[in-house]
Amino acid sequence: MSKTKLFAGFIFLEAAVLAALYIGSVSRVQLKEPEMALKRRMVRVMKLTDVAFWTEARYTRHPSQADFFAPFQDFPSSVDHFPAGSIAPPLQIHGAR
Amino acid sequence: MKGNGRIIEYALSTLARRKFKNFSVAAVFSVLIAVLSSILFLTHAYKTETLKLLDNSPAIILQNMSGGRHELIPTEYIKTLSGIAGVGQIAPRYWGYYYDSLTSANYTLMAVDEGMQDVKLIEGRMPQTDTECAVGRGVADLRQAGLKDDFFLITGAEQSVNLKIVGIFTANSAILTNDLVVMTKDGLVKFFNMPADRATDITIEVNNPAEVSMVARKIRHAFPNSRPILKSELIRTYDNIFNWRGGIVLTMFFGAIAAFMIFVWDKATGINAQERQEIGILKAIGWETSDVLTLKFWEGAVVAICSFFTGLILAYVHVFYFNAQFLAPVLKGWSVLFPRFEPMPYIDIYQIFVLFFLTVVPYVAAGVVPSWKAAISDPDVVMR
Amino acid sequence: MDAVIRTEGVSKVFNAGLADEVRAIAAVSIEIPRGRITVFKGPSGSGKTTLLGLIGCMSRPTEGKIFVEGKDVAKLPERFLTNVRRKTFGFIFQHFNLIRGLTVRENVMLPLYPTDIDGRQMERRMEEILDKLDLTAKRAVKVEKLSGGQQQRVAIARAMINEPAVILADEPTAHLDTKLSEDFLNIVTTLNIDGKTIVIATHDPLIYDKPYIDNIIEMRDGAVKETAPL
Repeated sequence: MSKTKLFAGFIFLEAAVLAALYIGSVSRVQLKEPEMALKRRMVRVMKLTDVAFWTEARYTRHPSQADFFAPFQDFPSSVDHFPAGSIAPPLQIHGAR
Repeated sequence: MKGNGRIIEYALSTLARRKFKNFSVAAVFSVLIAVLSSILFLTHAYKTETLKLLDNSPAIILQNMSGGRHELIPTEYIKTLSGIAGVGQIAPRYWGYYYDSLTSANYTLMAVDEGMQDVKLIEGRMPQTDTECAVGRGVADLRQAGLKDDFFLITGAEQSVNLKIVGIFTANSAILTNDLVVMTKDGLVKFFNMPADRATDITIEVNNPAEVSMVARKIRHAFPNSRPILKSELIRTYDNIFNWRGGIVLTMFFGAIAAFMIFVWDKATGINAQERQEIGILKAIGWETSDVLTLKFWEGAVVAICSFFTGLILAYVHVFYFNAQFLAPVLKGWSVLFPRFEPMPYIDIYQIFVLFFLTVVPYVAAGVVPSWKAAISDPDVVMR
Repeated sequence: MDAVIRTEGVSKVFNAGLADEVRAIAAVSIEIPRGRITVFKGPSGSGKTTLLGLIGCMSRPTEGKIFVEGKDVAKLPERFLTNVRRKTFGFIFQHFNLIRGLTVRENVMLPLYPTDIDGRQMERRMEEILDKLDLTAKRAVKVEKLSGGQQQRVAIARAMINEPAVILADEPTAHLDTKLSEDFLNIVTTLNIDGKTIVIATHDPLIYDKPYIDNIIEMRDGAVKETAPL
């Protein structure tokens, strides 16, 4: 029955690793709770409405806020239709910076 | 160990016969699971953190509209607004965009007000005079500037405004502050050349959360040219954006998923002569149909479960220990001011179960179903 | 006469209703006496393999009745048929039908895997049989690495592991030389002396010309030509 034991051992090991990772994630979230509380407070007092994920174009920075739409981006070498260039990084055109 | 255990043992023996093939299948399967769950993990982590944070945003943001476009809002509106029943704290916001041609990056310029002085996630302090500013970690790194360094911005007339950095927002708040440049209100109004009686928009708190949409309706009635943006709309927008971004990434990996599906389909639609022969032999020496199906179930399940677990572990390590190096650019875009924060490890067990039922179950079924046809036929084929 | 197996007017039609319909055997009525060696003798295509398959519960007859230990199995549902097959018969196939890539040990124990038999008892039984067939040294060798004679001995060991009452062999000497065929007969005779009923389908005179083969059923064109009990 050696192969079954090997397999069971392997699955058990993987399950244990996954369980450990999950417990780790929960405790990491809890550990960071004070930091999250500070950030939530920051949102409240600074009256923030958006996260700083996409800063490539002004109209992607605050997706929740209606605004002027820029037909030409401030960074003109972006090849992507996708505003913050998900598929390809912007071309480094010489002198275009 | 009785019957079923020995069938597992036998399933492992048959898998071990084609080590290379089965290891390759398991490797491809693991990578596929790793990619798919990386996307799910990362999207979910970012989305959860964003939504948890933005839940503290103002209840309503009032924008002024002119010609269908966003316009600066007269601050005199505040007087009328405070007369609406149910309205709590009202405050004007002053903010705008600044494209920094030096670094090819967009900054968000924001005015400080008194309430902001006790923000904790800052190294140094908030600006107090018109020549001071606080910047996000990303801006500071991009400008290679530290505390007390000079920071200049160029106004439209090619004149520069010189500021001193008195505060840098900490890196762990980068999800909110990475591109911020916080100045005093007067400094900002002057820099943007805004009329004195105007603000960018107005934030409105509502005492009773259940009355938000009613308050919004009253505001629209009072100011037909205004647009109230509700917190629920804001959260819905972000929910959609993350789902959409995650969907785009999933679409990119559609080829991989399709290839895997073809592989499973190929397995499901036929078993080769050797497998058929072996099923016949097992039947002939006294295995029941259910025993053969149990065997085929385990042959599939061993590969699929090992791969699924391995893939999940890889994905977790990739996303939460290596900050999703391979995936983050696709999800976050290629901004010059690239946010570099670690995702918080929010995990959705439900997503893992869905992934399990969409990958492991079809894979196992693809092994069992075609064998079932071979297993119910008479075993005398092995004698011919 | 005490018969382990008895057939009454058994016919088997393959591909019934199709253009390539084949009537493999027609109206065969025979008896297999307990504790003796019975040989189905006949040229290829005479239906002896089909008959062997039918009495071994490998498939069901189109018409007729088959009694195994007095019970009609012709209309039994598949589950019960498997059960009868497992408990009563051990098969030795023409092409041995061992599972390639597995060891001798695994191949021999294969019939017992789905049963509830105790693991240690299973090991003991296997050791005994391997010892009897001179395969102990080869137990961990993959079956495709063995010679033809050794492979057949593995097939015999596998047929014996269930401790069946009846051992069925289909053209067992077809792939063996004279010496190995003699060896096979020796093993079979030993099994017979131990009380097993043996049924062999063959067209090899080496087998059916042996004086101690005492029950020959000669077949031709899917029918029994003559029964010659001594």
